[in-house]
Amino acid sequence: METTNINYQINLRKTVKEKVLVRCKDVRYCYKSGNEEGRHWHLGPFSLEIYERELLGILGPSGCGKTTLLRVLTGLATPKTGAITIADRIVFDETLNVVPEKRKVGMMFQEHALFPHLTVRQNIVFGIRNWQRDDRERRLYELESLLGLNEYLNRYPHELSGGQQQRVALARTLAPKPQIILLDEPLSNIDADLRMSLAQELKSVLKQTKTTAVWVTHDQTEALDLADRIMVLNDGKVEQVDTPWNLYNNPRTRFVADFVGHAVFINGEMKGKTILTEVGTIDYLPCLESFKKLEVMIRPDDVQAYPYDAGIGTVMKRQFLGSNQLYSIRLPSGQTLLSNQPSHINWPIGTKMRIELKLKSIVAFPKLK
Amino acid sequence: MIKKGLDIIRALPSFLTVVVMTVPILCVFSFAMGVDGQLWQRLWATRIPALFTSSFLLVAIVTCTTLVLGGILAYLVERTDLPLRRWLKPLLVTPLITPCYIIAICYVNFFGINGLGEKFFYALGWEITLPAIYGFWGTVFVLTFGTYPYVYTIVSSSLHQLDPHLTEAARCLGVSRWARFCGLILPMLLPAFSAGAILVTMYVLSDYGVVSMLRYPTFVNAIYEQISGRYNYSTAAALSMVLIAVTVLLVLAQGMLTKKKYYASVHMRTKGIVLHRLGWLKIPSLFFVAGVLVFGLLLPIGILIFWFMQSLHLSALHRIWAMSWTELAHSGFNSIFISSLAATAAVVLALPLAYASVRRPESLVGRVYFFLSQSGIALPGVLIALGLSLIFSRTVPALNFSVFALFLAFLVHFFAQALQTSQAGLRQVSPKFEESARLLGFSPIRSFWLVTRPLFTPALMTAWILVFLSSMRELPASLLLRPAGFDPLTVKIWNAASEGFYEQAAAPALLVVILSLPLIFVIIKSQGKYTPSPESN
Repeated sequence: METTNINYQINLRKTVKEKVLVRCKDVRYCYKSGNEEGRHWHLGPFSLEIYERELLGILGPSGCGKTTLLRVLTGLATPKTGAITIADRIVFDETLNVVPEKRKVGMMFQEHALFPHLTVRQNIVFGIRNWQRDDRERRLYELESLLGLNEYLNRYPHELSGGQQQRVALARTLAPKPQIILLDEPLSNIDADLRMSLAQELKSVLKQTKTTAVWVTHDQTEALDLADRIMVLNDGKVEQVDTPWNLYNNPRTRFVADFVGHAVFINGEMKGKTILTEVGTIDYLPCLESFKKLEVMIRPDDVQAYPYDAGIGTVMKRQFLGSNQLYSIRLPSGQTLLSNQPSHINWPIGTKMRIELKLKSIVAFPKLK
Repeated sequence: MIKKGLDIIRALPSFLTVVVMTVPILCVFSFAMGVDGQLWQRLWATRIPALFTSSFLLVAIVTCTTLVLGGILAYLVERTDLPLRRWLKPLLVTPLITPCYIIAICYVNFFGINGLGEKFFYALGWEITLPAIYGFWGTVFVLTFGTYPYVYTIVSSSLHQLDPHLTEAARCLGVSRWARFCGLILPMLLPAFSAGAILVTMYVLSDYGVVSMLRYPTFVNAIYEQISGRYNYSTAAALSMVLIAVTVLLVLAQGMLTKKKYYASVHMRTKGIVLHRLGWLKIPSLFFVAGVLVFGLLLPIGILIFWFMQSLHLSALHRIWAMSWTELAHSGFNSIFISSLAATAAVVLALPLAYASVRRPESLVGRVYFFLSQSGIALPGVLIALGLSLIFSRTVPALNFSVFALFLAFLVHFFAQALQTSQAGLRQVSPKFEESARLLGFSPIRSFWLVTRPLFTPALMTAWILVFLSSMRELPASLLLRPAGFDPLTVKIWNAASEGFYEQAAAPALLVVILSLPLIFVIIKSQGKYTPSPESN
């Protein structure tokens, strides 16, 4: 099943050695599922390093184990094997399991889990109720001015809008100055039009406070936009951990290529030093010589198309996205290409097209039988 | 290995609770096993077939009548344009505040030759002969009006939650009203009807007060007679065994009938329900509902008030049952004292079990819950009293007929109520609150105290109220286990009424009714979420 992009050679990871804050080594979590088949679902084994002050995104389809991974980091879920270190302190290995309240890991839950019986102020100071009064008040003041909460301090959670609840949840999580905070789909119950601005706000607060954060999401645009690095999870397995740019341009596995960004794959055949495809030849790839049949990833941006009566492509469908349009173009063999076009372009369905590929990086996978 | 051991230690208090809850019944069991064969043979030849028939018949008929009555009332209130339905909806639950045996006491005197009813009509100038209420149909009558609210609350809340989209979809498919009702609404309500039927079955099988007041022989009646009249524990235990078997069989049978029929369609969308237009049926329906309220609530309460007024004029000489104000206050205090003791203990013991079963259903304690939740409430108070009596008379005779024995009987009998209610309450509190508190640096116990406890308190209060009221209204165990000089209200009522001094039963009965008022709020608020099985026997 695992197909690897053999072209994945260029490692663009930052060469500057940053300080590792969290280190997971061979962590494996077995999920005792209640279903009758008795199928045990695994997360991992995975190894992961989270650098200080980094915003790490965890991206994957629902049910892939993203939330479980967060719960493993917090200690709310206990892995079967492996070791976890947070700030040079072992919090989990074969002999040791530090309880969640001692790990100094903050977490923002999906529905925020604000305590319904406490006011905003009481919610925020909940984790620092044992601090000195002056320190506590100072911290509260810092947070309320950082997040603009002064007007709501005496309200109850149910009296707040989704965005306000989110700010309160963030303030509550940040209050005890945790070493790292984990955000479980923080934007999931926010209206679509507010989502991007709130995401930027969250990010800027995290960066201002120099917080290390792990941000779980199933929305790829959110992850690509916000995260410094992204970990792609699929069915409990780590597919790739990389920068957004690399993830998009150099996906290491077929799953990542498919999941991140619109991509289509067309069949290709290795012929000497080039790949022959329906829409032209692609230059030599040194490491794929041993494979005969290939699948070449083609992003919509790489497809240039012009109306041309003798062209091989036919416009089948157009999806208007506002600032741009996505044209589906069918090739004679039945394969379909996607092409990104500016919004002013207006080609009717059925138009014949000439197609040119302008690949910036060549990503191909051996074709599965 | 260490973790397993810790789990067991943590489970220990819960196990002790389980032991306390089940020992009385196990004791009856073992005692019945020791009964010699000749007695069994004689019982099989003489008593058991007749008791079986009479008990079974009563259960079957009352279950049917309550299902029909409760179902019709729920439909009228939820899905028709019945006038005043917003007011009638909560009012139809109110018959529950009068324990069934008090209704029976009222009607025994009201019906029959020279009864209160005849006198009443005579005063109005009509000479009517009212039939006596003793026997089968009288028992059915009283039990129907006393227990239909169980069916009514569950079915009406189920009807309330039924998604109107479903009926709308059926209409768009061109299904007629009658076919919609039979093919869609009734099957969707089947789980509710079945839950109501199980409650009524349990109730009728364990009822002592009504059947003995109305002189209809059932198992419970016979067992009670053996214990209190003849001190024949062997026969009592043998009959109890049969009763337990019958109870289990009936519950299993009902479970089979509605197997795998759980429909989940909880949208809580009440807008857009198209009400059934009653048309000319409007006035008859209103009369029907009014009649139910009269027979279930107003008439018994009216009779009690009438007796109470009369009792105020009784001379001191006639107050044989010593119904002075101080005496009333004394037994009232006894009732409240022992009931609050039982309620507090039940809630305290239920808490860890409920917590374990909701939060860690796979743990040892969580599994034990299933065993517990099924027993206790399902068995008649007479059996629990018998079991405790057997234990105490063999081990610590001093504790037999003591306040402690009574307390234990209530605790065992109503523990399941506290457990179910606290469970339901705890399910409403998301575990994420507690997890948040832990990640903010608080220990599990402190997290529970700071976050879960305040959110969970209303459910605990409900549990407390339910157990308190059930204990206060419990009759047979009180009669069998009370120590000399410690009469709860129920015993006062029963003693006065069974000797025919109805006026003197009125004051304690009214006090029980008044103290029961919180029950209505609990049941209306819970909307059938908790088992509304607040009174007993």
